[in-house]
Amino acid sequence: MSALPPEWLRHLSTLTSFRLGSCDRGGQPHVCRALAADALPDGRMLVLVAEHAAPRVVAALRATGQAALLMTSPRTNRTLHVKGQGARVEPALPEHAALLARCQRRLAEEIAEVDGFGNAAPVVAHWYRVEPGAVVAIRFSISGAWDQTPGPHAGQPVDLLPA
Amino acid sequence: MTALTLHAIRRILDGAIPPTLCSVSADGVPHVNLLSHVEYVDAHHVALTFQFFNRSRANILATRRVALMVEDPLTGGSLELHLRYLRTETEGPVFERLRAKLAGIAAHTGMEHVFQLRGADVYEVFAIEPLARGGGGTAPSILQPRCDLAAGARAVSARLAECGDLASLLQTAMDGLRRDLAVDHAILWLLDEGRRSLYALASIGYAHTGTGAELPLADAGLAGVAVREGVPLRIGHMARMYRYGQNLHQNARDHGLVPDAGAAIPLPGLATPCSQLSVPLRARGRTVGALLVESESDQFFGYDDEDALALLCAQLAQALATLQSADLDAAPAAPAVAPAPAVPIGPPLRLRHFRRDDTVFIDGQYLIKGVAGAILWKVACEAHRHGRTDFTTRELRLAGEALRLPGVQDNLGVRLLLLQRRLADWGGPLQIERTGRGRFRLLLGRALVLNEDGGGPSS
Repeated sequence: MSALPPEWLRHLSTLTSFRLGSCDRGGQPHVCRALAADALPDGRMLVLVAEHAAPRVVAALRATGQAALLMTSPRTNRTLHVKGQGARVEPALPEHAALLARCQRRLAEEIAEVDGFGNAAPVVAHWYRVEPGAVVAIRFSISGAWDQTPGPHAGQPVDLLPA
Repeated sequence: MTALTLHAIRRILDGAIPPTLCSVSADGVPHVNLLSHVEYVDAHHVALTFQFFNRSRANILATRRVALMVEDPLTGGSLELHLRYLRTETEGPVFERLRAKLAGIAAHTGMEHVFQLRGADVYEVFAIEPLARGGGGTAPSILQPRCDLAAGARAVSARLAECGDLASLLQTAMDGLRRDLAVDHAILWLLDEGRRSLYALASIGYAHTGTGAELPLADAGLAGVAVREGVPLRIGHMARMYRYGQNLHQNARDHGLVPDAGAAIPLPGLATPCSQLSVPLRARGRTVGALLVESESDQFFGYDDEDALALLCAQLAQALATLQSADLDAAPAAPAVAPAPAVPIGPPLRLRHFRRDDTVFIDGQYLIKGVAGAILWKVACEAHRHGRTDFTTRELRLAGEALRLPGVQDNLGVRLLLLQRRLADWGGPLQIERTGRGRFRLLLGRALVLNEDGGGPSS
């Protein structure tokens, strides 16, 4: 099992916008917005998703376990792409509420700084207006990670550490 | 519930929130990346930029299946589109539209040297699925459209249909942009096919109207590309490569389109536009110019602006052609009664004409060139030699070869109107007024001294 290196773990709190992709058994890709993401102490990634807003992604994760998570900063465009296998989908736990709230606040603050977007708070609030029981927690082991920050070095692999 | 259509959601494709692409490899590994925008091609197709040979590209070529998530910046609502890759285009209208937008986005993000368009990937959209949010409740709306574009376009169109001459047609069109479509800055560029250049016929919203200002087609920014490709082009974040201004004025000078001596006509346009939309003027199967509208706000124009202006520009182009033909075909009628000639007061006006490009200077100041310059020189000579001040467009048409018209029917009326507007901008004691269909009069407040090609004066 692999884990993100410390330099990227330090950046995680600044990566506030999350997209999660998967692939179903028929080879059809699916993608959705995720609400929160974090690295677990055992090296796996944790992603929180509103299942009703991503039914096909969640179904594909359950079916194939294939996950691709894009974490980005709307303000700086710093982007980390993490891929994994063996994804497990479970109900979110009460303690995940704090992570959700933190991610919502940071995303609203960042988007507010992005030129040309205007007042983003209602949109972000809309994304995060989710009943606690509708959130699922997805955990997967990291098989690879890449720095996808736009620029000449986009696509550079991240050197993972043994978990 | 009615199925979503691509046309209905195209507003969301512009990338205010970057769209997300998920491709998949042949062995089923997903790959996610963000896009700058998605280009609406038609009711069943979109185009995406192909910039890099990367994992995403390899997946697309391997499986041809991708999922695309787009999010509405007005409501927060999300959609998942399922696409099938069809082909890559490396030239043509779709490619040019993508290139223009990519250049704008690249400039906005400081990535001009990184973002290079290799091709326009065209996809078939075979499914559009809404992604519920917020328990399915009503999403908030945080932005309002700046005006009702459809109603505005209809109002302008109705007024254009009432215009009986070129001058009122032009005035109605430009006034309508401001009054009914909430556009504050616009330039109407017409194509000079012979010189491969655009010249400004009218503008709104600038300190100088720039009537008669000229740019090489290749350096005319978004308007030049719109004319070349014959399609509307829109940029939400202005790119350096499509911005024209002082640097382009220098280009014009380098190409010999701006006289070396004397002041050139200042180019109209915003110094630092943030959004531009250029719509070609097409009639009878040809592109005759382009309307450029611009704003100091990012993402000011959308697909609905394109639709509204495309309709108005088609009507405008057709009306320009029709009214010109009507003027040219008008039978000579008795001229309007000429007012008593004014007694020349003050020193004579010195007109200098250069045959090479029909440039005309008045008292050492650059006035106009090309066909409009040739018209001015012809009527000035007639007035000077024979005392005539009333003319018809028909006689100008008969003199077409001498006036070096690329196609006599093409632009004569517009060039005459350009000359009239340019003289009005100049504001001196030599003007042109329309005296009836196919008729115009030279208004002279001074005696003339004519100087041909730098030869000796004729007075």
